[in-house]
Amino acid sequence: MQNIPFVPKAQEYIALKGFTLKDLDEEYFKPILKKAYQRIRSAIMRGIVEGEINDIDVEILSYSVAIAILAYINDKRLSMRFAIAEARRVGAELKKESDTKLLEIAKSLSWDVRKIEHIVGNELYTFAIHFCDYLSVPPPNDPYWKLVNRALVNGYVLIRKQELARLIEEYVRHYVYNKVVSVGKFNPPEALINVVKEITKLWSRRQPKGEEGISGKGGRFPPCMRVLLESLKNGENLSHMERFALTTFLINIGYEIDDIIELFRRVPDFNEKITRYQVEHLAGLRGSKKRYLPPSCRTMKTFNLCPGGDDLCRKIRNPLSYYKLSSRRKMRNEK
Amino acid sequence: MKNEIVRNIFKEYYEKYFNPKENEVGNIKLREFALVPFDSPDTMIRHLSFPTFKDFKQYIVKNIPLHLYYSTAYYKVPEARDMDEKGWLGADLVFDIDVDHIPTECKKEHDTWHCLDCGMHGKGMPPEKCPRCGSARIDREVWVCNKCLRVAIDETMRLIEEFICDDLGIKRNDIKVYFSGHRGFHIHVEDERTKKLDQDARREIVDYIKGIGVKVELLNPLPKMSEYGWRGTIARGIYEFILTLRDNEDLNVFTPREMEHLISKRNILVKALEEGSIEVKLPKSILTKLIKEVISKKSVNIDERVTTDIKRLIRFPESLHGKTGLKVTKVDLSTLTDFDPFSDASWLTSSIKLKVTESIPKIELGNVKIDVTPGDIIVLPASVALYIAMKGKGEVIEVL
Repeated sequence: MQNIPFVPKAQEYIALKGFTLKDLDEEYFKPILKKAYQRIRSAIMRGIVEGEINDIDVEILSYSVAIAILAYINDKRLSMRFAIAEARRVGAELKKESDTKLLEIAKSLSWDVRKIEHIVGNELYTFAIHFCDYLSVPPPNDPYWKLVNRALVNGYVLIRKQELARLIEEYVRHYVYNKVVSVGKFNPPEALINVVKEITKLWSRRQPKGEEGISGKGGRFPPCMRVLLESLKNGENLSHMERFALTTFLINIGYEIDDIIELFRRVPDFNEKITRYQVEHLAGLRGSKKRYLPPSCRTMKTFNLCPGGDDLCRKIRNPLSYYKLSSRRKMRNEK
Repeated sequence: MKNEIVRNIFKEYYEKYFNPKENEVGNIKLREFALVPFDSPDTMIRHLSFPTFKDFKQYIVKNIPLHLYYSTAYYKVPEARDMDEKGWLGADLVFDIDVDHIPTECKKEHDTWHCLDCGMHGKGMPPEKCPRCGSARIDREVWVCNKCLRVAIDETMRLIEEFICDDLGIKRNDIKVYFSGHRGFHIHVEDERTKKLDQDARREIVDYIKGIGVKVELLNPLPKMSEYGWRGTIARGIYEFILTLRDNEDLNVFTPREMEHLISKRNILVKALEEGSIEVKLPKSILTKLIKEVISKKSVNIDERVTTDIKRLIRFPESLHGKTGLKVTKVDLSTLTDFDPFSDASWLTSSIKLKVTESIPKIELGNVKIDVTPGDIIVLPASVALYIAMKGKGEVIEVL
């Protein structure tokens, strides 16, 4: 359980040790502070928290210290990036765990999960999770995860081992982020302030340039695209469908390819070459030479990408029309 | 028309007959209440809350409602005006089957619509936009005849049996069904686990029940009939379709070439669907059409807004529906198929003398066939007469 400092057991462990932030000024706790710094640094630089686990105490306590550091910095994007990175590490660890261990972890989150053996198509499904727990973490925006495409029986969704690991990973992402957000104001010990300074410097160097130059050219963004753009700017890992929707939208309202690529620089698994290829493909500069349109409102709703429309949304069927309509209105008003 | 006699009918009802069980609605302290007063039908009083059931009843008798609602949600402070202050704690999972949303054949006989902008009008389900001027401002007049009600009952039964019980695994004891007082049924699930579901989770459930977002690629090779969820449902639907292939020739869904393909593959398809021992793939175009056919038959047409809204107000059990005078009535699952609103959702046993003031389509309400012209004075069972009066098509002259 030491590699997953999120489950209640690990939290109890911290309480037992009676550790407080003030202790960080002591020489003895230096390794914890160092490890906390490494955790965040790794999240910033590589999008995943890496590193050997040598000491359980350091491992668990450094996680809590990292949370405190991020709460003090209070940068939404950085916190999200850290949450994703921690979740990824947990996801990678979980895939190596045995079924029994995985089940134990899921149960410690109060999930109703059972061990089963059932074949769907050619695949072996080894777990069944209650649909309320399945839906309690936002699933990846992939049609395969939609409830309608799942085997659902008597309240339980059948899932495979790696899917249970993925659900726990999503849970961790939320948990970590909410943890950072929920830390109240506190007076940090001096040792912590030094780390905060270093991290802030590191983070600001990693900020993509030229972002401010990008803005809507005339029209307003519909609510759905505003949400996606905001998530992207927060460094969240957008799903395939989310990337597709936002990219095609931006292309069709006249964004430059380079500007779009610049936006994607924030995602944890950014790779310029691949991103450029994909954006150019959607813009019709490659392959089929077909320029793609954004998905319709109906499709956006189906993939849970519609945050609920405003007045203008009632008049349109595609997010693109929202932009066009609002720019036309703006022009009319200016006249 | 709502005259003094109608007012007295409502008043008498709430004073003498309105008697829901104290625990009919769970956790009454945590619910918000709202009502449209009978005497002031253009206002809605919201954010009411009552510490006890007795307080609630006293208030209702003093303020006779035309419509009476409560929140499906539970709040820390139900009377707070601001949503943040209210403190959402959870909400019942609610489904609404409204025959308004279901295109029935008989709508052409009794429903009309007209465009508020250009005046164009027609019969049946209203178009999304006016075919003449393109306006979306369309007014409609709807009636619910016996046939419409049968459709709503069938949909409700399927929703409960196949989706809520079989797939979602909800126990029958946790499901309550109410006639909405007008055009359909409300199905309430009061289950601890579903209470906490957020809006996105509820939308997933809606999409599941409506069969929205089924990915064709995930169903190729074909699933087998014994599988769970939509995979099995689709396999069984395709199976039925394949077995009655020749009878389906009037179905203009497939091109002759596609039909030929299906017929030539029939035996192997049947085998694949039955046993799943062989993998069979269908061309995407054919499979897409087959799936669409199955979904249109097997999905249930619920009103998604009701289920996804976690702060919804819904009619209170045993209150009167101000547009029909019918009672929001709890229906036992075993008697649902025989439900007749004009006898089961009314407490009135008398007759009413009614003056018809506006034209009414020829329609069967309960066991009364209506065939009248404006100006007629007729005696009808009280529930039917009140229904016509509340719809603004007649005036109650006298309760007999």
